[in-house]
Amino acid sequence: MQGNLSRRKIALYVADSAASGVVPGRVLAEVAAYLLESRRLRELPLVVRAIEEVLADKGVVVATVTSARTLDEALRTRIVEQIGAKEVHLREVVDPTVIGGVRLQTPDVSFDATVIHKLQALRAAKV
Amino acid sequence: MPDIAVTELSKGLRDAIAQLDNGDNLVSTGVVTRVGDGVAWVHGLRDAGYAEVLEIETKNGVVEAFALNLMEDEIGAVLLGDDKDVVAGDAVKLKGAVLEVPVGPELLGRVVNPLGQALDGGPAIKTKETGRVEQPAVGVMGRKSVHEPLMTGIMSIDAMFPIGRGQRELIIGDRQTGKTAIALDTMINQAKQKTGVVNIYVAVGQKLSKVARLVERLKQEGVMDQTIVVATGPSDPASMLYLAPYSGTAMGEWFRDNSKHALIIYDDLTKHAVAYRQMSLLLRRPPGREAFPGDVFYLHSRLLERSAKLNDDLGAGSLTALPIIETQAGDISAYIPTNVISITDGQIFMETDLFHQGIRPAISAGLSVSRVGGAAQTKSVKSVAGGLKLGLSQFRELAAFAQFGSDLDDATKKLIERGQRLTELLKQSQYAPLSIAEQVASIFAVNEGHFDRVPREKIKDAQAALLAKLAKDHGKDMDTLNQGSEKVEADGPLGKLLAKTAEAVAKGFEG
Repeated sequence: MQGNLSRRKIALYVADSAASGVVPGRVLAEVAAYLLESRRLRELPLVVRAIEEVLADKGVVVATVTSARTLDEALRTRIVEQIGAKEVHLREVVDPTVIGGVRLQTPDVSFDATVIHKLQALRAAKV
Repeated sequence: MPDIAVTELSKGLRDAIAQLDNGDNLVSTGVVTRVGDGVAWVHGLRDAGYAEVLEIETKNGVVEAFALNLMEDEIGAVLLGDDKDVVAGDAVKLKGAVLEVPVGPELLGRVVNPLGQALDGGPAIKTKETGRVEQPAVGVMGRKSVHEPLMTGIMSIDAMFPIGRGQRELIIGDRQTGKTAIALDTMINQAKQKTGVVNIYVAVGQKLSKVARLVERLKQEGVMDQTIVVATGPSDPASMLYLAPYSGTAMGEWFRDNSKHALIIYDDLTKHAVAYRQMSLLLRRPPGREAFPGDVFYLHSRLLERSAKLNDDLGAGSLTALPIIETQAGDISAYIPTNVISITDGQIFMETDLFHQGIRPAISAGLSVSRVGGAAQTKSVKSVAGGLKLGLSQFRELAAFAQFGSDLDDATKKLIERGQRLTELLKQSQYAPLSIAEQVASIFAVNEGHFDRVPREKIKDAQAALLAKLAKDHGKDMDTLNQGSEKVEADGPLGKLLAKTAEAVAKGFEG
């Protein structure tokens, strides 16, 4: 093994092989084997993040939407429109603790319009 | 392996990893290329981590080492054992862990080396837990300000430079000025006053005869049951001297993290820095001031930062450190002394001159300071010791005029006489720590002028008589005073009692 590959190089390799939002299983298996071999398993979340960043540069945005209830189709369409990228893939998370509203996270920006966030802001302002 | 959507990348990768055989049987190996002076150079092992333990397979078994220099194609490792057995060509494997030592209450009463192996001829050390030798210190939120006293039993320290639990107070001075004696008395006091504080004494390159004498003394005083001694001698490899303070701290941290209180003494950090200098120079690191490597400050700061008072959520335990530094000819502006002075929360400076004048403990009132201990001083001691340091410093300034006796005005004369009596009172023999009540009563008697008629040379006798009388006739009041929570005022009930007794005793010593 000659030196370590940077996370960005790994991310570029994965992103290049991804087409219409799907990564081939073969590529994933290669990356997994490489991380294990080079004892870099701890970097896994960072690698995933790097892949998402590279994808975003190519116009493929992976966005996490957190809401208290499941999204309906109309809302989903509006969120995708708001992000306004060439290709948007939503990762939907249902979390009752946000109480209401949505939180939207893309690799480079995040937008928090949840009730819990507003409550926390109010509490912080009071103190 | 099926294709995975980009939104499920993390899970997909984890599944892929789970399906792989992690190749446990495949271990990377390196080879020793050069060895000497306790340092081995290893080729290969690209995936070694900093301070990771390496196992060198020699003809006579495995010798451990730890990697300190990680370079492109070579590792510089410091041997933990003898370098006689290690030869070029030996195979080296990674242990996959940083150095750990046994920790826990099982170590109490034992003398161990920095690897936690018994040196006292007792059974092998078996503990339930192990602790990392190198460990990051507790963060800001995990701490609480120092507020509980750690009584040393030495009057001049407890009254003028009080030490709190979780504080780092440096003991600094030339050779043969009683630095270890202070540390030893503090350990003894923890047993005498039944404070429950565990002692850890770390001997860094100390003569083993001195360590043996110290252990013997601790046994005699009944302190050994709550003491751990981590001993290294001058003939041990530099790596052992380097590790000793860290492994001692790991042992202390167990008590700190389990809601207990511990006191750790590093005797001494000058030798520790010298051992590190030796290792660094052999590892070809560039020398800096006094030939110490560039990170010698970090060597001690990361060590002493681990002594702390924890907050209530973490159990409110504490680790108090008394590092010792030996100066050359009183030079506290040398490299290592200035470093450690700036790291610690105060220092107790020992003076050769005072020592030879018979003022023992030879603590310099002017140069010593305790930066955080004030908040931890017991109320009763604080109430009587308020002006002590100032009075003593003023006296030392005026002492030069003392020889002109008759030409001085009354106020100055009084100041000098009081100072002389105080100096006399603060003399304290070794292995005789005083309780809070004894300290308060003694200082009160002299400070309030009740012993003004007692001649200087009889002050110690008068003090002994006072303490004996108080113990005999007023045991209950002394017990209350020992709690430390009561203020002692001249017109309060305790003050009046002390004044009356002191006057009565003083009569017997009038000359």
